[in-house]
Amino acid sequence: MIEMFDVLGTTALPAFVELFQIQHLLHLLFGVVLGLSVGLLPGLGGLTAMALVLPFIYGMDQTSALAMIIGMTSVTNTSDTFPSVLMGIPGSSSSQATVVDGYPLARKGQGARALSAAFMASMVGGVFGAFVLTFAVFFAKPILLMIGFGEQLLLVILALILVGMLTGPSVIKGLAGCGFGILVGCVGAATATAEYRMTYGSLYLSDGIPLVVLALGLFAIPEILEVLRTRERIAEEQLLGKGWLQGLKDTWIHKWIVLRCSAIGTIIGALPGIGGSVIDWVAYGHVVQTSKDKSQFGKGDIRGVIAPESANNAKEGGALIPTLLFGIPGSGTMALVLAAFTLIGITPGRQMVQENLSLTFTIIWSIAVANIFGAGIAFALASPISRLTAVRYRLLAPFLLSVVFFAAYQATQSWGDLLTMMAVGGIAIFLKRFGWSRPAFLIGFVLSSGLEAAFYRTAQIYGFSFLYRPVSIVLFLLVAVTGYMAWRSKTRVSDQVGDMEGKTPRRLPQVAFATVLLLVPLAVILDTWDLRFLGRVFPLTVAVITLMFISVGIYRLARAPDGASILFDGDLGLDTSGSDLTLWHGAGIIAGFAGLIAVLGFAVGSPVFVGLFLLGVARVRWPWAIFGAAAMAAFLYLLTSVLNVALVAPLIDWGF
Amino acid sequence: MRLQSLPAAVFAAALALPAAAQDVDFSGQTIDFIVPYGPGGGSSTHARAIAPLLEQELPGNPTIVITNVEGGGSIRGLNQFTQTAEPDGLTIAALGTGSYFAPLLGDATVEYPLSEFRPILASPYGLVAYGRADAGFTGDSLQDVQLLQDNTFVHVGDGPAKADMPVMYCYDLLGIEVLGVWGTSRGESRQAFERGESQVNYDNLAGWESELKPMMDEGVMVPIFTMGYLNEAGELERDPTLPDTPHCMELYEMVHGEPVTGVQREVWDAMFAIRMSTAKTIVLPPGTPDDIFATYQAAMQRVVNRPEMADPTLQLELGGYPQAVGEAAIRGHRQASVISDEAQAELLRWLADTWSVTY
Repeated sequence: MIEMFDVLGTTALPAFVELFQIQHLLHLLFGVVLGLSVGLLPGLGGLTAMALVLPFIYGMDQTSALAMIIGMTSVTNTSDTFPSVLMGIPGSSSSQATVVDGYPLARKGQGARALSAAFMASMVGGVFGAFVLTFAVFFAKPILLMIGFGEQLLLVILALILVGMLTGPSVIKGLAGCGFGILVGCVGAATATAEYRMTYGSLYLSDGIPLVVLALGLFAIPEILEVLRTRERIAEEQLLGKGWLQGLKDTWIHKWIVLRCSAIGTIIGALPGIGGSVIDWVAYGHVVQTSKDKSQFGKGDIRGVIAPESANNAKEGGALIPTLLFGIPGSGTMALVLAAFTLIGITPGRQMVQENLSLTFTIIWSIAVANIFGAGIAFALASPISRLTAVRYRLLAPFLLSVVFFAAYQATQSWGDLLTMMAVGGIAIFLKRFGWSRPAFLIGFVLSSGLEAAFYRTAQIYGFSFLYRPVSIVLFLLVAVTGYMAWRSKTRVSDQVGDMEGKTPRRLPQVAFATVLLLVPLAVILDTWDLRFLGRVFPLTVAVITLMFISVGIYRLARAPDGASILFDGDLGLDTSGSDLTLWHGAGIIAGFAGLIAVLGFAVGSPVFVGLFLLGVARVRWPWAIFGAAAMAAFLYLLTSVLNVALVAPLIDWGF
Repeated sequence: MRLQSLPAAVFAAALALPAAAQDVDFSGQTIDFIVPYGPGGGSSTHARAIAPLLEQELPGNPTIVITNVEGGGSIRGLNQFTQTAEPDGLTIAALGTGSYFAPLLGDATVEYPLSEFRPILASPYGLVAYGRADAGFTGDSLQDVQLLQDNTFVHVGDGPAKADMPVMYCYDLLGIEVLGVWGTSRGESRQAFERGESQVNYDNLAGWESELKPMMDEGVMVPIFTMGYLNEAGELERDPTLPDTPHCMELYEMVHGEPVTGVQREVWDAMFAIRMSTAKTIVLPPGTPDDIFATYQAAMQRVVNRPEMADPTLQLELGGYPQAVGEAAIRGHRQASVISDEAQAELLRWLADTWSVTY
């Protein structure tokens, strides 16, 4: 212990002083600004930013290079909150849960409040993660070595139980939705046998469906279409003046939530098995479970923003623990960080906590300082940017659709991304309308591969004997208690917003949609039946369970008395009188956009689409439509010339 | 260090290179370098190490832009390369171990003519299999093989038909059965080994100094065998990094009293070529004219002679062995991409019988 404080004094302090030399600080600030800008765009994150600066790093001095890299990767999770809160478009895989309460807040005119609370929470989370990392480098290794495959299995189950809190009013629909998510997560090569499942000969599907594509389809597409057919602007109420001050107060009032969720983020970020993309949901589920008044969750509860945002920044510090201790990257971004280390002459791995300890502390301090800078900048922008929610939506919509298509394409840069997103979007419109919890679906999807892999590895290596291991016992008790609490909970949150205003929904459309959903597990059963045992046992089991849930669901939809919680049709509560656009118009617009991209490619198709939309749907004068198209083109030009990103190429070869 | 222990730094330099055509010039042009793996992976690191040097050595100093096209192992990126790359020297691609294994196994999604690619650089990567000391491994190879034959130890890896294939085949040759737990990356596999959940594991020798040697010094693990190393005379010998550890073929002879022969040896040689000699290869598309190909060959020759190549960090990124260019790269690529029908049948039989993997 004394030795540790000794080291802190002799190594940590000088590293701190070193970092505060002006050129290091400037590099850090540069990294922060870059990270914030890249994080702002959905679909782009730390990976893009890293790839951008890698060529320049060679030959820079170590501290400056480190400050820049860490500054950049620490804050992409800060700025991704903007699209999540203001537009209902998940900014990245780590801010999906923020949409659930952040976006309703923006609709209430409280976008600035939600954003500033999110940034404060992000900052505290990030600094907390750095703080934990300071001490973890000394003693985390034996702890990490205790987390074997059995413990990973229990951790995944623990995360999965959260679905119990997020099913929405109808438990059966929520659980079926989670089953769907798990089944969709099985698409691609099987963990145990590498056999292809549900790929139908497509190379695109052989790697599974990318999370970003799925999340954009689930949340962004239905949201854009709904606003287009119901309202003039995102914020239905007057913008809250001084919203940012309120956001600050909120974070202070809920300081214990911030700390708890920061701890959750750091721990899950450090542990193997669950993966970073579910951390925001775990934090969200935790805050729902531990709150007394759950009535406002899903409708715009500020706690639902604070929790995931503090966790997703804290994660980065946590994820660095295994990266530094074992030299094994915990994520794609971390892999690039390690690659950059090699470029500046640092060999990542065990030396980082021995001979190179001072560098490790430079990293830690950089994380803390970057989070403070990043939150500060984002905070200053929160109020002005949140005014976008008061802008006429038809002026925003073509740009948002362009961004969504652009973002989806960044996942694997193939047409499969766009087609999958549109297909998921089509289904998601009805999931939303008929009250099938999309969070439950997404959590099932994210945890699917981890659950299967951990289950299969645990069964092979341990059988049931893993339950005798000390950490397993603790986790098992935690699973039991959390499960019991989820079971007993009376309020179940989801993204099911809007009531039916006392009207009784027609049953036929609901039954018909549920029957269509029945095809999913059936297709899985048909497809996996002939595989080897280890390749099919998991999807088959989940498919059969899901089939049972939906069958019960269909029966209840047909037979349950009027007013039962399973019956829901969100369209009854929608006031579409203010808009001349229907769902069919929306579908046509999206299909038309895809067609334009197919013929002209994204670089030309997107500005043309923006111009046509502004002219035909938003009914602006033609000079303004041309101005909008030119702005889009200029933005794309900037994006492709600065960042090495690809735009969808036309399907027709024009010969250039 | 590894370099100095070898007699000749660049054995390929001794081989005659075709004279580079003087009229090929890339002034002001951009060369697209397709890496069919993710931006954080070993192939990207390799490509990023080579690209800036190649930029300076190609006539006209073109800009090289690395594009990562992930998917289906490396199949998607190479299919795309085959479909879209013009044979004008403005598009090049990287191949990894999986790029060779997939067509070898007859993967139906492969649409690239592997043996027709024109290789300009092949970087060998060494490999070492090791076991946990607390499971009874001693570092005495014969004793360790005995231990492996008497027990069924856990091996955690990506799959018997993937990068783990050579190690699994070697185990089988030595009469060893392991319990394979699949679907993990190399990093996850090593963590499982460090946790003691698996007792045997393997890794690239490039990480020996930084990752593996510390584990050995702490008394956690001992090396069992390496893949070996092909010296400039084309003879298989012990890996220069671990001169005290036998290679797989040597161990086979120690255990069985006779060398591996016939079709089994042919399978092994193919795996060796893929996993060791051409672990990371850079190629031009099929049908590239000879003058462009020769220009690249000459440029790559100058790249490996550059003083930067002695930098230990760069060496680490390139696997740490002498780089094969010119004829050596062509020979390595041919050995790794062409396999006799009997050897392929033997490989598929082995996968089906031992691991129930069928294609």
